[in-house]
Amino acid sequence: METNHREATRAPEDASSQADAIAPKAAWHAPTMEQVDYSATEAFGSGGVYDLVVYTGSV
Amino acid sequence: MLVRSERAYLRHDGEDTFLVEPGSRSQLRLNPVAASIAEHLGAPITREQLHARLLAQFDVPAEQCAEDADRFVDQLAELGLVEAREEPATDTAARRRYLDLLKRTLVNLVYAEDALRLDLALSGELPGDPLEDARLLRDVRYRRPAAHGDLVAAKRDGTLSVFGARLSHTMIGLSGLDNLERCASKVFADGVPGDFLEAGVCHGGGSIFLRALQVAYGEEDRVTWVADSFGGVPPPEHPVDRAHELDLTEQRHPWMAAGLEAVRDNFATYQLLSDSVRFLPGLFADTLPSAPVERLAILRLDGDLYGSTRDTLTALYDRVAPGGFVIVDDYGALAPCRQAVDEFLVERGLEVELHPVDWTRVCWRKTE
Repeated sequence: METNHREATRAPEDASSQADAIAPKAAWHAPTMEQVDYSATEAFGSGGVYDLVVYTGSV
Repeated sequence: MLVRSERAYLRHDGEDTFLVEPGSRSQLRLNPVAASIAEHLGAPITREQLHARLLAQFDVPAEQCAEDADRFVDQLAELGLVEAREEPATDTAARRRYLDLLKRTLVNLVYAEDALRLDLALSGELPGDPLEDARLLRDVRYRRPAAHGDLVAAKRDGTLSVFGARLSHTMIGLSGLDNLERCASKVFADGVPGDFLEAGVCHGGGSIFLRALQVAYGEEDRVTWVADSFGGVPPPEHPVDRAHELDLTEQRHPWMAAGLEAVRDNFATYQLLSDSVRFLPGLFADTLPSAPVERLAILRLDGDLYGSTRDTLTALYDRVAPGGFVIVDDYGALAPCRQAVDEFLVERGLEVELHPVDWTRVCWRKTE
C-alpha cells in the first residue's frame, strides 16, 4: 500500500522535527503605539514613486 | 463590527509595523500585540472574534486579553483610525470565516509551501538523493524559514519580489483583498447603488473576491464586471509608457497574463461563476466606453499602464455612484499609472482624499 510504504520510509527523527515545529504562543505585552518621525513614509503625495519590484528569475 | 479606517494603512519594515496616517502626517510604531490587533482590524470583525484570535496567538489570560485589546481598540477609535459599522448579526461569524479563508486561498497562503517546492526543483537546489529530496520538499517551510517568511510577507503586502508571489489567483495580497472588503462593506452598509468592476484582472482573483463579497453579504443582485485583454498587459503605446519603457507584456512577464477560459475556470473553481459575473474581453479603449455598465459602486483599476489607466477613468469614472470607491492598484509602483491618475484628477478639477492602502495601492471615495 502506498500509505504504508510512506510510513515505512519515514525516519524516526522526522517525528521529533515536526513536533519541534509547533511553536509556542507568543508572549503577551499590553498593546502600545509610539509616535515616530513621519518623514520616512512620504512616498505618497511628495512625488516619490516606488520602482516596480518584479522577480527577475528565469521562470 | 469594527474595522480599520481607510485613513490609515499598515506599513511593515523588517520586524517593525507602523500605522501610517498620511492625512495628519502621523506614524505610529506598534508593538507586536498592537500590530496583530491592527492587522486583524483590516476587515470587519467583532470584539469577540478579535479576542478569540489574540488568545490563539498569544499566551495571555482571557480576561486580560479582552481588557487590553478593548482599551487599545478604543484608543484607535478615538484617533479615528477604527470605525464601528452596523451590520446584521446573522451569519457574521460564518461570513468572517469564509472570507478569511477565501483571501488566504486566493493569495495561495494555504499551500504556500508548494511555491517553495517548485522554486527548489526549478533552481536545481535539491540534494539529488530521493529520500533527502522528499524530506526537504516535505519540510521546506521549516528547512527554508527565511524563504517562507519572505513569501508570506509578499502575499501579505502584495509584492512580486519573490518567485512564489505570482503563483496564486491574485497578486494583490491580503492587504489588497482587505481593502476590497472594507470598501464593499461600506458600500453595502451605506446603500450605495451599483455594480463592481475590475479593469485588469490577470488570473481573476481580485474579481473573484469582489463577487464573493456580493454573495457573502447577500448583495447578489449586483453584477461583477471583469474587464481584461485576457492576453496580458498590452505593449506600451502611449508616449508616457514608452518613455518609461514599461513593457509588461506576456513575452516579458508570462505569469502576468491569463486567458478568458482560465479566468472563467478560476471563478468556477470557487463556485462563484454565475450570470451576475460578466466578462468584457478586449482592450479597455475598445470595450469600456460602450460597456453596458450603468452604475458602479466599486471601480478597481489594475491596468498598470498610463494608457490603460486613462482609458478606464475616462470611460467609467462618471458612472461611479456618489459614495462609491475608486481603487488604483499601481499608483505607487508604476509612475505612468500615477501620472494618469494625477492628470485625470487635475483636468477634471476633482479634489479627492487619496488613501494609501499599502506600499502601492490607493483608493478614494467619490463624494459627488
